[in-house]
Order: sequence, then C-alpha cells, then structure tokens
Amino acid sequence: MTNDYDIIIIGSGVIGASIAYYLSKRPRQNILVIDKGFPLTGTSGATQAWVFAHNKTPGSYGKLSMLSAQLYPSLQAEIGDIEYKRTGGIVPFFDEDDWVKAEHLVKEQSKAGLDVQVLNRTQTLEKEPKLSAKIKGSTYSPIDGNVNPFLLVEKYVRAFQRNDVDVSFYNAVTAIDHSDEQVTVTTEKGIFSGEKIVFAGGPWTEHLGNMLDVQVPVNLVRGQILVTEPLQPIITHTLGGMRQMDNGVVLIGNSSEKHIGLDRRTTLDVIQHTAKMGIDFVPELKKAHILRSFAGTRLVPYDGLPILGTMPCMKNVYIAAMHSGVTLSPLVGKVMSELIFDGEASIDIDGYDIRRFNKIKP
Amino acid sequence: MDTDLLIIGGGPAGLHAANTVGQYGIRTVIVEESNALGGLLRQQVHYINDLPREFKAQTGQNLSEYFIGNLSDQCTVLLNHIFTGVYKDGRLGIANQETVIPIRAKRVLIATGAAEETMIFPGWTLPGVISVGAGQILHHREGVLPGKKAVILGSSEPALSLSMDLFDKGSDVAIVDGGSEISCGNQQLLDEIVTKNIPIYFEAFNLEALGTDEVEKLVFQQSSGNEKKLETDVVCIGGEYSPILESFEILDCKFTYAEKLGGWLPQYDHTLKTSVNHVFAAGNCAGITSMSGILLTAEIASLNVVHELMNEQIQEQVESLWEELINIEDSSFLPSFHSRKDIIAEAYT
Ligand SMILES: Cc1cc2nc3c(=O)[nH]c(=O)nc-3n(C[C@H](O)[C@H](O)[C@H](O)COP(=O)(O)OP(=O)(O)OC[C@H]3O[C@@H](n4cnc5c(N)ncnc54)[C@H](O)[C@@H]3O)c2cc1C
Ligand SMILES: Cc1cc2nc3c(=O)[nH]c(=O)nc-3n(C[C@H](O)[C@H](O)[C@H](O)COP(=O)(O)OP(=O)(O)OC[C@H]3O[C@@H](n4cnc5c(N)ncnc54)[C@H](O)[C@@H]3O)c2cc1C
Repeated sequence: MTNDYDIIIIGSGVIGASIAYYLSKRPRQNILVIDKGFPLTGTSGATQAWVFAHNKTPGSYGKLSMLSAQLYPSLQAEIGDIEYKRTGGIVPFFDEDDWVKAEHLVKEQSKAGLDVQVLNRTQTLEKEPKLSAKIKGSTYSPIDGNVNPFLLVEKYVRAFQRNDVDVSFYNAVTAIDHSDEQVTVTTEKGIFSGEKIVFAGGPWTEHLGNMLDVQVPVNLVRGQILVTEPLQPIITHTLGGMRQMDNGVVLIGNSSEKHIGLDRRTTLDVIQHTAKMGIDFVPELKKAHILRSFAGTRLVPYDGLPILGTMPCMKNVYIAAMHSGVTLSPLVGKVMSELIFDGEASIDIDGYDIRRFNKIKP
Repeated sequence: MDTDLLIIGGGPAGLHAANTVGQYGIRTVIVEESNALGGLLRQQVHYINDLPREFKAQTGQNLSEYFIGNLSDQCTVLLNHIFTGVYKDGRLGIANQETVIPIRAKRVLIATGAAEETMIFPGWTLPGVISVGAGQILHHREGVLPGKKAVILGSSEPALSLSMDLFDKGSDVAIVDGGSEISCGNQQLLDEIVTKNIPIYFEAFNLEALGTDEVEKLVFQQSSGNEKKLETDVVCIGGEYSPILESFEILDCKFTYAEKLGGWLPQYDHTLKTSVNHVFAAGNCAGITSMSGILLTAEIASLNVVHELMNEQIQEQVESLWEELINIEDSSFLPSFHSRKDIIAEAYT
C-alpha cells in the first residue's frame, strides 16, 4: 500500500462504496477508501432501505430517483444478490382531502416519465389485503421496491476490492490540506495524498467540510425504526412507512426529529408513536412482538435535494451528500464516477451543485 | 409513577439493594421480568458458604425467601414487567404485555444478572437437549427429574453439581467434556463424582445429538479416534455466563472490554456508579460472580444511593464492605478480581 493515490474517497457507506465501485470499473487508477468505522457503522447500517421514487419531489429529483431504481437490476447482476426487489410502492392516505394532492402528484410525476397511479380503497386492498379498511386510497408506483442495505454495501466493497481498490477502515480522517494539485489527508493511521478526494461522509459531511473551512448546508434528522419478530408474509409491497424483509421481519418507521445531532438512541415516545402508526396501517400487526428498535441519522440539505459535484473553489475536491442515499446509490456512483473520471456526468446534475446555497438561508 | 430508586432485576443483587435502602425509608420499585422474585437463587438448593459476614450459610432458596420477607412497605414490586426503553424526558418505560408504564426515578440500579450461553452442535434443538441451568430449574425448582439417562456437557461446578443431584435421584449420568481436564475447582464435588464412578469422557469433539422426535443418542469423537455413542434421554449443556447488558445500552452507559473476563462490561467506579450519573450497577451484570461479591456490590451501590439522596454518612460502612469484598475476591479468583479493579481504575481516568 502506497500513500499516494489518484483518488481518495472518505466514507464507505452506500454512497462512498458505490462511487468507489463505479470508479473501479474504469481503467487503472489508484483508489483508496477510508472509513472511521467499518462500512455499515454510519447511516447505511441504520436505514429502512426502500428504493423509492414515487413520492420524491416531482421533476428532476423524482426522475433521478427513478433512474437510480432502474439501475438496480443490472447492479445486482454485476455485484451479486443484494435482495433487491421491485415490489411496487404504496403510500396509503386516510384523509379525503388527500385525493387532490394524490392526483396532483400523479400528474407532476408523469411529466418526468414516472409511472404513478391513484388507487381507490378497493384497488389498494386488492393489492395489499392486510391494509386497514380505514384507508381512503393510495398512490402506487410499480418502480418502487427495496434492497438489503447490508448486502448492498458488502457486495460493493467486495467488488471494488476485487478491482484493486485499497481500503483503510477503522481510521478517521482528522485533517485535510488542499492545494490545486494535491490534497493531503491526515488520518489516525498516517498521511495520504491524492490528486482528487471525495467527501462521502454521510451525516459527518459537515465536519469534513469544516476541515476545509467550507460550510456544508445540511440538517441532521434522526429516524427511529421498529423491528418485529419474523412473521408470516403479511405485506408484499413497499409501503410508505413499512416493509417486510425476506426473513419475515417487518421494519416500521416514519419518524423524523431535528436538532438531535448525531445521537442515535431511540426514545419510547417515538417507538410508541411508530407502533401505533404501524397498527393504523396494518391492524394485524397488533399481535406482533417488537424485537428491537434502532435509530439512524439522516443528512438533509437545507432544500432537501442532493448535493453532488465539487466543493466551492476546489476543482479536485468532490462531494456527494444526501438523504435517500440507498435509493440514489447506483445512480450517484455512476454519475460521480463520470464527473471524476471524464470531467462530465452523462446526465445534467448542475442543479445539485453546492454553490446553489449561496442564495438559500437555513 | 415516581420513585427514589428503580431497581431493574429482582435477583439477590436487586433484592439486597432494596432491603439496604429500605432501612433508610427510601422508596423503591423493583422491576422483574419473570413471574417471581429471587432470580437464580430460586433454583439453588445447595448451601452457599461464601456469604458476606452479615449472613449465615444457607441455601439460595432460603436466602431468597429471607430477602423477600424483609422487603419494606416502601418497596413496590412489579413482576412480569420489563424495562424496555426511555422517554425523551428521561422517564423509564416499564412494559407488561398490556401497556408501558412511565416511571420517573431519581436513581436507577441495574441488577439484571447474567444469561447462560449454550454450545451449538447438530441436533441441539431436539427436545431433551437443554441447558444445565434449565436442568437445575426442572430439578431444584419444579421438582421434576429431567431424565433417567442424563448426559452432562462440560465440567464446571454447576455442571458437576447437577450431575451429582441427578445421580443421587437414580439417573444414569455421564459427563462429556471438550477439554482434557475438569474445570470445576471444588475438590469435594470432584471426589464425590469419582467415588460414585460417574464416567467422564474428555477431549470429546464433533458432538451430535440424534433422535427422531426427541433426543435418543449423543455421538461424539474422542482424541483417540474412537467414536462414542451414548444412549440418553436428556442432554444438559453447560456453558459460560454472560452479563445481561441491554438495560445499560438503553441508558447509554459506556462499556469496557474486560480482556481477562472475556467480554464486555459496563464501566463503573468505586461507588458502583456507571458513566451515567444516576445509574448504578451491581451483581452478575457488573461482572461480579461470587455470591458474596454480588451481595456486597449491591450493598455498596445502594449505600451510595442513600448518600446521594439523603446525605447520610456512609463512608465508613462502604469502606469496610470494600475491605470484605477485596478479601473474599482476592482469595478466590485473582484474574477476575484484577480485571474488575481495572474497570474501576479506568473509570477514574
Ligand atoms: C431511519 C432511516 C430510514 C431511512 N430510510 C431510507 C430509505 O428507505 N431509503 C433510502 O433511500 N434512504 C433511507 N434513509 C437514508 C439513507 O440511509 C442514507 O441516505 C444513506 O445511508 C447515506 O449513505 P452515506 O454513504 O451517505 O452515509 P453513511 O452510511 O453514514 O456513510 C458515511 C461514512 O463516512 C464515514 N466517515 C464520516 N466521517 C469520517 C471521517 N472523518 N473519517 C473517515 N470516515 C468518516 C462514516 O464512518 C460512515 O461509514 C434512511 C435513513 C434513516 C436514518
Ligand atoms: C443453575 C445455577 C446455579 C448456581 N449455583 C450457585 C451456588 O450454588 N452458589 C453461588 O454462590 N452461586 C451460584 N450461582 C450463581 C448465582 O446464582 C448468580 O451469580 C446470582 O444469582 C446472580 O445474582 P444477580 O442478582 O446479579 O442476578 P440474577 O439472579 O440473574 O437476577 C437478575 C434478575 O433480573 C431480571 N431481569 C433481567 N433483565 C431484566 C429487565 N430488562 N427488566 C426486568 N427484569 C430483568 C431477571 O429475570 C432476574 O430475575 C448459580 C447460578 C446458576 C444459573
């Protein structure tokens, strides 16, 4: 292992690992991936892992999510079984007033080529019979699904290691020095230099930005998830709020709490609220035992949209920071590798440049 | 619900702590997940000789009854209740099958004990394959003979003790161990095993339990290359104990890896306080294994609670308890004693 690299990626969650994987398919370059823990100790190991497009902000962002979902089958063929399933996604609603919103969503998404439908109660219950009869209707899209985030990250890491990418795990980056030609990365285990570096630090991205005196405009939002005992098949779609994994376990969660920082404890308030939401959706879950709960920290840019591109005034420091990183993982890996290797992405990502925030206040 | 001290776990550590603070009129709630108090004492019919000075030698079951009989009327016992989580405002959530009760407690003592770890091998899920602890529960607590042809896996003290008890009730007993010598340090027990001609097979490996509806045979290889087949109707797996740590995790206590004890333990200082200011630890879950150590740590922790809540002077008492603890532990098992001292030293740095 040398200390000089063409590209150094900081962070090996679904985003950093994906970028490393897509870059490793390009002609020989020296790549290093650094993570302060092992690849699932960040948010990628504490997520629902829906691959969900249909309720994302219509327009460019909804389309980005759809394109990413479309990449999953070929990704799975390349790196091995990641339990990706295109189950179709259902977001039920309980309020008559939501009809209008649902129809609006369908219209907007269809402009970007996203197949979303409004279903009435009967149509919804036909697809998902265990849903509560109290629902008024739902929005549905066949493109939505889910994936096993543990397998996803593990398979990325194995694949890029086969392609000769070096890793340095359990090693935190503590300082970064930037010049036009070179970036020097100081870590707990030594100093590395790279021609280009990539920030994929998930919720710690703000901290990485501070090392270069750049403010990354993001909020941290905690989410708490309940895990049931393995159950007989009870739901087959990915629902807005829950999904059932291959092993029968149902994951339930839709909470978001601000101003908590990186605290990943769970609280009974949210756990009870989440359990109630689960039962409101699927009354049969009342009988299920909850085995455990966990929390994760989402990074949410001020305007909710991903940050993709280079850092201000630095053409060799790249950043990829977003929520819904599982959904976006293959696409972000692909376009960031294009940007880094070819100098240009195959789709227009200018709208996701961090410089847009110059105009936005928190 | 409001209380001064919430005790999680109603085994000897929790009960002794409740009684100690009870003398000072402190309100306590004991939360116990099973249907009775006593913890592991409930299945101990043998005399415990290594009790602290203030107790006379007696069986675990007697000791348990004594503790329960002494609980003060300031003590509320919640059986079949589990500590499951914390609310944002710091109240603890105590769940039964129906609902979750929020309890505000000035101090918390975690005394959740330890759990048996079993060995896993082909056939281990067959009916009739149980743990040594389960064998003791059946035999000592429920008065049921677990089997007529017992195979005991392992040669720790509880394993040998169960072997003797089953033998005395007329069962055929064989002991099978993966190591090359007995791991139990109790010579008297060993002598009895030898006198009674209970066979011991050492260096056994490739264990497999066979049977159609329940266990019928235990097959294993010996280092000589022979395969041995024992007819059996109950196999009791003896294993290590590991502290039950979930409550510490929920309360965000820091852990430390105790190399010499071979596992993770909560960090605590000489007052038995964890890294979280209002949370204390005592007993098996703090890595304490001797019965005297369990009771002494419970007493030290609860006296410190008394000190913090009522400003009582307890210094001298605590010092003499520490002295007793150090004497007993020092003479019993040095490596684990030193390991615990390391934990306490670590908490100071
Ligand atoms: C409860 C919850 C539910 C969610 N549900 C979904 C969902 O259904 N669908 C979806 O698409 N998304 C979902 N998300 C969001 C998604 O999980 C995240 O967007 C995604 O995991 C982020 O991946 P990442 O690689 O950017 O971050 P992370 O996985 O956090 O990876 C960042 C890595 O950087 C490393 N790192 C940070 N700082 C340093 C440093 N100084 N030195 C070295 N290494 C460092 C960290 O150790 C970490 O491994 C959910 C999130 C939460 C919390
Ligand atoms: C079979 C057997 C035989 C033994 N024989 C002897 C002997 O002869 N002599 C000797 O000195 N020692 C013996 N020991 C060891 C001794 O019994 C234990 O070390 C001692 O009981 C530990 O006391 P404790 O109070 O720390 O834990 P425990 O006795 O285990 O009590 C802990 C209690 O906490 C409860 N609990 C756990 N988690 C929760 C939660 N989240 N919410 C609510 N309640 C909870 C448990 O149900 C349990 O009742 C024996 C142990 C076993 C298993």
